[in-house]
Order: sequence, then C-alpha cells, then structure tokens
Amino acid sequence: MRMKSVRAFILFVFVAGLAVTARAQEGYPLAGTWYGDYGTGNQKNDLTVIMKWDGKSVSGIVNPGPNAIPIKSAVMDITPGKPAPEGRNSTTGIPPVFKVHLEFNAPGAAGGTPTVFEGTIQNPVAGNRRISGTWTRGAERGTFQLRHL
Amino acid sequence: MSFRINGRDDSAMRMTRLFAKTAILGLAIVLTGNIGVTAQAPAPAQGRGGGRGAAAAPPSAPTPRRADGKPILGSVPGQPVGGWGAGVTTLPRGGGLDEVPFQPWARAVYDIRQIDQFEPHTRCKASGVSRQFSTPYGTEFVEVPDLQRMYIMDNGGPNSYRIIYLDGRSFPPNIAPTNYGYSIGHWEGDTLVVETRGLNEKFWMDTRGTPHTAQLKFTERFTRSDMNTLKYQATIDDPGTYTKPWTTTVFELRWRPGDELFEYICQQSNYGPELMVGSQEDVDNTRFFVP
Repeated sequence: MRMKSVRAFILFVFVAGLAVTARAQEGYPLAGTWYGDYGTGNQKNDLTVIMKWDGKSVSGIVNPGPNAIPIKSAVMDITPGKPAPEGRNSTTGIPPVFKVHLEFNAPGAAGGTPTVFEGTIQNPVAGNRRISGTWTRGAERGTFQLRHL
Repeated sequence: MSFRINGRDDSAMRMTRLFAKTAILGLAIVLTGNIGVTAQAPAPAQGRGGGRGAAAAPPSAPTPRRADGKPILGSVPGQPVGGWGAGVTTLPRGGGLDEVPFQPWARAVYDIRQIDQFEPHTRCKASGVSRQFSTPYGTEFVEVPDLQRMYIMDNGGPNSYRIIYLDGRSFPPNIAPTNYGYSIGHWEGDTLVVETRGLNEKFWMDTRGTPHTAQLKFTERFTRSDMNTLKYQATIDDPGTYTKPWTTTVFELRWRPGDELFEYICQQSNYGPELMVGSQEDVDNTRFFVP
C-alpha cells in the first residue's frame, strides 16, 4: 500500500514536472516537450522528446524516465521565406520552412544504435506545432509524428 | 477607353467627377482641421512637431514631482486621474529591421508572424514589458510609496497589471516564468530604470511579434520629461534570440487626462471586434459598458 503511494507520488511529480516544462515554450520552435509516435506500418511506439535551447545549441532527452536517452544532436535547418511587408493581415508573404534533424542512440549494442529523425515543423510559431517526417535506424525506417505539448 | 452615359460623353463625366472630388476633398480638409484642433483641446501637449494643430497647443506643464523631488509617473494628487496613451506597435529600431541582431531562427519566426498573426494579447493573454504600452486603451501608473512599489495597469486585453518593486531588493534565484515577469526598478536621476526577468515565452513584446525566449532580460527607461510626455526606451538582452543586446530608439507616450481604467472583459473566441469602441488613437471611454 505504501509502495503504491510512493509510486503515485513519483508519477505525480513527474507529470507535474512535465507540465511545467511544457508551458512557456513559444520562442525557439524546437524547445519544449513533444509527444507522438514512430514506427513502421501499423506498428507504432510512443515517443516523447524534451528539448531545451540555451541560445547556441539544443540539448534534451528522448522518453524521459529511468531509461531516458540523451539526444546527440538536434538542429533546425531553416529555409528563409519571403517576408511579408509589415502590416496587418498581409497575405503576400511566403513562410520560412523549418526542417528538423534529430539524432540519438537507441538502446542496444554497445553504445546503442544510431537513430536519425528527419522532419518538418508545421505551424512553427504556434503552441500546437507539430513535427512529422521519417526515421532510420540501420536498415529500419519508418515515419514519425510529434506534437508540441 | 471612351464611352457615353445618357448622352453625355466621358469628358463631361470626368469634369463632373473632378468637381465632386474637389468638393469632397475640400470638405474633408476643413473637417479634419476642425477635428484636429478639437482633439488637441482637451489634452494640451507639446506636439512632436508637424502635426496639424500641434503648433497651436500651449506648452505642457512641467514634470510633476513628489515632495522628495522624484518625478510622478502617474496621476498627480489633486488633479484628474489620467493615463498614458498607446505607444508604438513595433519596438522602434533606428535603422529598421535589419539592424536588429536576430539569430537566424528568430528572424524566421518574426517573418512567419507577419503572415500568421496569432498574437497572444489579442487572445486575452497578459503581455508584458513593452507590449503593455501598445494597448489602445492605455496604461495607468500607480505608485505606492509606502509599499515601495509601482503598478502598471493595462486596460484592454487581459486587463491585468505588472508590479515593479522599488525597495532595493535583488532578483530571487529561481523565478517561475510568467507573462509579466519579475520587475525591479530604481531611479537614475529623473529616469526610472526597470529590469524585468523571469518572463515566459507566452506573449509577444510588441504587436508585430518581435520574438524572445525565457532568457530575456528586459530593461526599460521611463522619463517623464514634462506633464504630458513619457519617454520610453528598452534594451533587449536575450542571448537565446539575439546575437547581442540591442536598444530601441526612444518613443513617447502621451498623457491622457481623464483616462480612467474601466471594466474590460476579454474573452477568447471573441468574434465581435466591430463592437470595440473607438480606434487605436481615439477611444471613447464615456460609455459605462464597453462591449
């Protein structure tokens, strides 16, 4: 009974911490907590990614918890758009494109297996932004999608 | 292309239209002139120069001061309560946008925000620092010397307020980020210098979407140069967004005597902007209910 309470408390602290991390992230588009899935065909696996921006580089973890995986590399590659003239309701601008490259070592053989996610951020300035794209791990490949919490 | 209408040729029509346009233009000039003078009348101020009617305005009264000589940034005891009118909508930069030291991602975000206008303030989110001075309904400064703090209350939007601590305290080590952040001020001569930290990323610093991160340290300098003028300048120090700190040019807020805070209810999904009263420059606060 006491063990259950302790577990519940740890879960609560984790979820609360996640919620705090998830708030207040409308600046750097990659920063914050992302949740979604990846897989091949109908087989999907949950995926949580937490990223921080220090002004020069992104750090973070994949699937937080006891077996969290540190992110090796996370970068944005931005293709500039055509800026709209300053003024309300401008519809002449072409938005920049935000590509994402995410790399980490999945648990496995010594040092893990290099895993690479390549995607595009949709609606990068909004709180409900998403990333979707493809991933590869050795010969494995599939699709993924993440939404910003 | 030439055509006829009811037997009159197009040159005759053009003459008629020209006459009508000239008459309308003349009427408009007369009316605009009258409105300009009328608008100046209740708020005598030193004009910024060049505005119609500004030259006729009497000189502004000197900077009001407390007994200890410090400038009063808000309403003056014994005089009608007032507030500061809206300032600029974009943080002013002398050389334009290209002089802002954006990191590449920040410039891209700025560009995107010119297309997708999802400004949090217009969705009732409290929007701190310089964005407080772009609300069309103005702001009111309330200093409470006994408490050694000042409140900057903004009308419209979330209808909320920011606290500026003036008691010499230091910033706490871990500030929970909020929309208004944690502001500490001190006087440098006649200028109130306010530094704000602990800002979250849930708001825009101006209506155009100049971006920032939670690493932002925002420094403001308020100088009431006379009764009707509050000079405002900001320094943006945010290594998460900019390659170096940058400072805006000085812009001015204008005193609006008689402007009092009024009840303003902001609700998300408000699809009735046409029910707003007045415009950015001229708001009618005389109605008890403001839809």
